Amino acid sequence: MIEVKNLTKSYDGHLAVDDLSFSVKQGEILGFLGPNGAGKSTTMNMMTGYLSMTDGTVVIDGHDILEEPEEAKKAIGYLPEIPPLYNDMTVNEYLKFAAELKGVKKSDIPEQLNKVRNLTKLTEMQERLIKHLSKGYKQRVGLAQALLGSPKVLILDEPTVGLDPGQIIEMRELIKNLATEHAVILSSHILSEVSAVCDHVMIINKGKLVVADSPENLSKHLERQGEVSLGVKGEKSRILSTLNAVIGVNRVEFEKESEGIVYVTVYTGKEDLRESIFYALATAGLPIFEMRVVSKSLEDIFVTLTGDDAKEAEKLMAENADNEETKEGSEDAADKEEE
Amino acid sequence: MLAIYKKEMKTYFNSMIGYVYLALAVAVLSLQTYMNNLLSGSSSIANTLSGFFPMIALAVFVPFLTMRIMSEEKKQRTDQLLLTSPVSVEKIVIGKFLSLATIFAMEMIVVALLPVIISSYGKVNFVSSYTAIAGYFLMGLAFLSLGFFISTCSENQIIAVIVSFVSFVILVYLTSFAALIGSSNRAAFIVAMVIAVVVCGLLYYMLNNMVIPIAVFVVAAGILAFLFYKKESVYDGFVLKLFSALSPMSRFDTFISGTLDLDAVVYFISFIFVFLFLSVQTVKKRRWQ
Repeated sequence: MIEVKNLTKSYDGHLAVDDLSFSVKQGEILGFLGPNGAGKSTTMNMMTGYLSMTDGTVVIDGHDILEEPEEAKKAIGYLPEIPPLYNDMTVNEYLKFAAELKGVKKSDIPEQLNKVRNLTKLTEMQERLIKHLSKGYKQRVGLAQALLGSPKVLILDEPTVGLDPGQIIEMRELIKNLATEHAVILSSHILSEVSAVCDHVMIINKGKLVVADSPENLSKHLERQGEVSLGVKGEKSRILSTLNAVIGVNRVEFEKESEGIVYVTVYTGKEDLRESIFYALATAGLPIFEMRVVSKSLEDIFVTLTGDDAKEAEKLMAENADNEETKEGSEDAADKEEE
Repeated sequence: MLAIYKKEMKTYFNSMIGYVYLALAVAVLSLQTYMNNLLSGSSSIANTLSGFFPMIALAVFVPFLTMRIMSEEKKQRTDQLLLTSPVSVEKIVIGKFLSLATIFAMEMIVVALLPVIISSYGKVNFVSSYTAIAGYFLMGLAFLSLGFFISTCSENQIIAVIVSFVSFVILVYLTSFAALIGSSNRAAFIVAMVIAVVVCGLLYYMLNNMVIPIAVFVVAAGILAFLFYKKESVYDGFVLKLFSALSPMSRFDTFISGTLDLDAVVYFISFIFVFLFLSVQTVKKRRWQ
């Protein structure tokens, strides 16, 4: 449905989008993730024909966006970052205009308006002037506009910005339901949203693809590392040596010492070591004042991958690659064992 | 295209701009009619239309009509809806221009009634009256197209109004400027150079490329200088000829004198075409930035 190849955009020698390639099929939801200014909106603007690319191609439903713009644009419903609304129109006037603009047949317009109003729960607001609507409702009008004409591809730029928590959940449900009939691309800088809705995630930073995977795989990758934060009363050197002796502990990092209590972070592997740590310290006569698992989430990978600390990101990527290799390696070994 | 046309008409008459424009334009045109025709007992609508107030209606009121036509879309980001919909830029521009032309035509309907009204008090030369009205209509459309282009270039409506107003005043008084500059060949040479600079500036703006405009300027300046030193007679009367060739007023005057000159009609139609074409190019070019 959507084929993007080597998409590149440069402004005066500065690369805003750098060689992105991906494809989305019907029924799939792809999430663009990245900090503000990562190139998400630029990519979407190029896909919808609002901006032109420096290099690369975008093919929507078999039509190149530059060579057959009208055919390609007919297949797209686009909700830009700021919903393109005319404040002096009522919701109905606006939706009718958008439907006519998209070339929806005159006889189909009332039915189409009814459908999108119901989907986005705008029926009560249909006679209101858009300038009198709250931000959440404006966002819905923008989405309703994108849904008009049942386009095959939906491109939604930060669709949940400005919505309250209840509306965010509604919006996610709506997007999930829409994905059965459409191919959906959405962008966000909120990870929980992307992991809740999308089948595939592309993390973008400074215009470049950092990592692309399913949300499950991304979180699995993170679970391999565990962190336990500890507060123990006693002598610093003894605490450190006791903890280092616990089987499964990779590294112990001293954080601070205050009022006789030593705070440390223990880096472990995948397994939960809280029990062993407790017994080890108890045997050594070192009372635990505080113990807590530092849970890593998608937020952490996001911060690591998109933060200024590029080295750390590279390390993570490398680990990811190593991991795959070892997996293959162990499979090989398993095969041999069978022989 | 029709959707955009209908939307623009609705916007003009929902937001009062349409009514205020029509009321003011008709008021000043009527004032001129009262002074020229009723007070002094003349039956000539042509003289009325070439008077001071009808020119004010064009130069001062038209900018307020055209200022928002494109700049507002850009500012409100609604251009994202228009440019990502399956409608070409050409159709967007034509749809919007037709809405401006319709509002101007409403004003002209009132003007078109004037000869009929005056005829009940005496003899009216209908042919020359309606020729003059057609001339005023064409000149109005030309000004609308220029105002349209200026609105396309700016996100700021105030700037669009001011630039349009200044451009319109320059257009109306173009032939007077010719007299101001003088008829010496040196002045003519300087004017020709200035025009070369402006044309190359426009080229740079449209192409986003330094090499071609500079090359064109070097060649043009070389030819102009060569002519100035070797064959100065080329510049005889150049400024006056050039300015009256560019001036819409000299074309308008042929309509006022009652002759339907094909040259003048072609001039106005090309004027409109050029500025609508430039508007389309400006919108398309913005995508490449």
